[in-house]
Amino acid sequence: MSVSYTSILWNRQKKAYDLGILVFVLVFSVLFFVGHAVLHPNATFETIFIRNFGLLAFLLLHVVLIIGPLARLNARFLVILYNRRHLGVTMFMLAAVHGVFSIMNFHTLGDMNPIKSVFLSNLSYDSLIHFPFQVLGFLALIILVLMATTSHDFWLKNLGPKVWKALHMMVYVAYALIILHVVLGALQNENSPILFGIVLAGFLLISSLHLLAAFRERSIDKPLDQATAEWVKACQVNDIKNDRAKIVTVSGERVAIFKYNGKLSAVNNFCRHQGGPLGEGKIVDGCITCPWHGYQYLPENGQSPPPFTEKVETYRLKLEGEEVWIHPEPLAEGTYVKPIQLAGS
Amino acid sequence: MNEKDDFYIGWQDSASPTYSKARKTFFLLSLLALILFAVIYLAVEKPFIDSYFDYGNLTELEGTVVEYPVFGLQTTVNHQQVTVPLVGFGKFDALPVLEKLKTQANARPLSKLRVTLRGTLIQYQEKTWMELTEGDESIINIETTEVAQEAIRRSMGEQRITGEIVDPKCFFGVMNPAYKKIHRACAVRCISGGIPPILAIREGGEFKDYYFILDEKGQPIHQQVLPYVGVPVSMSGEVEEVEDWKVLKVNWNDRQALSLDFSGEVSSCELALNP
Repeated sequence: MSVSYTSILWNRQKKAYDLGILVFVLVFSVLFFVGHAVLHPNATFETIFIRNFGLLAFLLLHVVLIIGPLARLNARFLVILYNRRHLGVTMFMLAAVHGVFSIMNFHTLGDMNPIKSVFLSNLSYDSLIHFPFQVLGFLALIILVLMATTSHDFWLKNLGPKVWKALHMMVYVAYALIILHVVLGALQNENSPILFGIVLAGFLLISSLHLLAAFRERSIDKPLDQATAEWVKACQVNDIKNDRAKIVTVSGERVAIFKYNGKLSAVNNFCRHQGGPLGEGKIVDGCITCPWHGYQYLPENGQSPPPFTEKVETYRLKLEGEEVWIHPEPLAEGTYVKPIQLAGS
Repeated sequence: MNEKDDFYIGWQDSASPTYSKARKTFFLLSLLALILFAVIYLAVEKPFIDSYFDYGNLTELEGTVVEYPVFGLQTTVNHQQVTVPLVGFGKFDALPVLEKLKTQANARPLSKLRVTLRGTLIQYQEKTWMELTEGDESIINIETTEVAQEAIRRSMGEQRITGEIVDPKCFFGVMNPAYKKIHRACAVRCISGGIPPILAIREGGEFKDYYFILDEKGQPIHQQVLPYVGVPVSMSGEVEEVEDWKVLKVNWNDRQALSLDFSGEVSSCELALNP
């Protein structure tokens, strides 16, 4: 977390993460160039260059896309999620090198504006087999440009988390365009069932992980009984572990009920940073700490501790014996609600 | 702290051993997958043809300028008398150089000129092309000879030929691979810019023969062929041998003379390309 905007707040973990990305890129590139020199000496430098960066971007996009559901399915993968933006921006830069160099190679020094040429050189828009696959890659690159340029927290703050999130969900549109770009371009040219199988396996991996994660989330989204009542039974006190939360859905919103220091408090589950699930977080130093990027909120009023300004809605709770009841109507962001004191605490 | 109660906070300087281990495992598995993919890709990648572009090196060739079937230079390459077609820098023809040659020739016939041109060689199989990289500066020397060099032409009759229209500048060496769909857009730009279209014929997976495509009067054509570039196509017309090159003269008004041919490539239901 940071009060002011800096380009990147470096720490040891972030440096280790970025070093990993660099190793990833270098190992593949060295292997790819040396492999071509040995196995395909007739390939031109431009072809190897374009393919190297295109494949790297494609592979990294798969890594980017599996991190989200993996972290939903197993909390250990949160360690990969935290700096995912670095991976995403790296992937964009690799894709940009691939795209810009391809346009320079295939469309410049001719009788038409290179960008116009991308769209007008191959006009077989009415044929699947002959479809101008470069157009698909170009459109995907435009989406990646928008995502990369708005990846900083400055844009997150100014666009708001919901708009920002919606913009960044466009990665799935980009992925679909890129899959078609690859299938109708490189795969069609190579005509290799092995490469086709690998692309298909990648697609199935991403799809199945997302479906699994969504299936798991469904149980959370099951609304509580008597949702229209003034008070709704949420859970038993013992259902909540110390310094952790139980997520319930009331009035269509996910709410995290935290147990800490013998007290109970409830806040909206949606972190104002990137929409992380606060209820999967933990009380650290007296603050609810988001599992995605470590944003913190005070449980009793849903406010980030000063000087931070993020706020989430709070909810009223009551205790009937061992049963925790919640009032479904949210209070304004940052409203103080006296925590429920548990007996014997 | 037990493993279940462990919690990861990215802005802290270090992660707990549980998370550090998870990060290392994920990284190593991803790296392994990456290396495996690179090895598989290199193993199954289609082989590249043995073409060559002598990028960065300029070569001088001396010979006689020809205008038919395309602007070229009759000269000797590797002790063989050949016609070296000439193309311009980028995706353009070299016709401005031809115009300058004509101006400098002062009405003398080109066949009586001995010309030295400098450019970048493009070579594949027995065929050599030259890019006049320096434009007008490519003309190094012009001399007049008494004996006119006339090209030997021989008609081979009407034929129907199936192949792929490529842009020869890229195909013969500037890019590799420079055929089929992945190169289609570039080939369209090159041919549109004046580079003469070539019908390249494959046999048994290898390119074996090449035909300059002209109209039925033997005049250059460019825009008409663009919709057919980079796809299997079948064309009929008079075939002519001109020195070491072949020419296919196609009547573009005759719809029978030209059809898309998808045999062995894609299903015939994909005829949507027909312009």
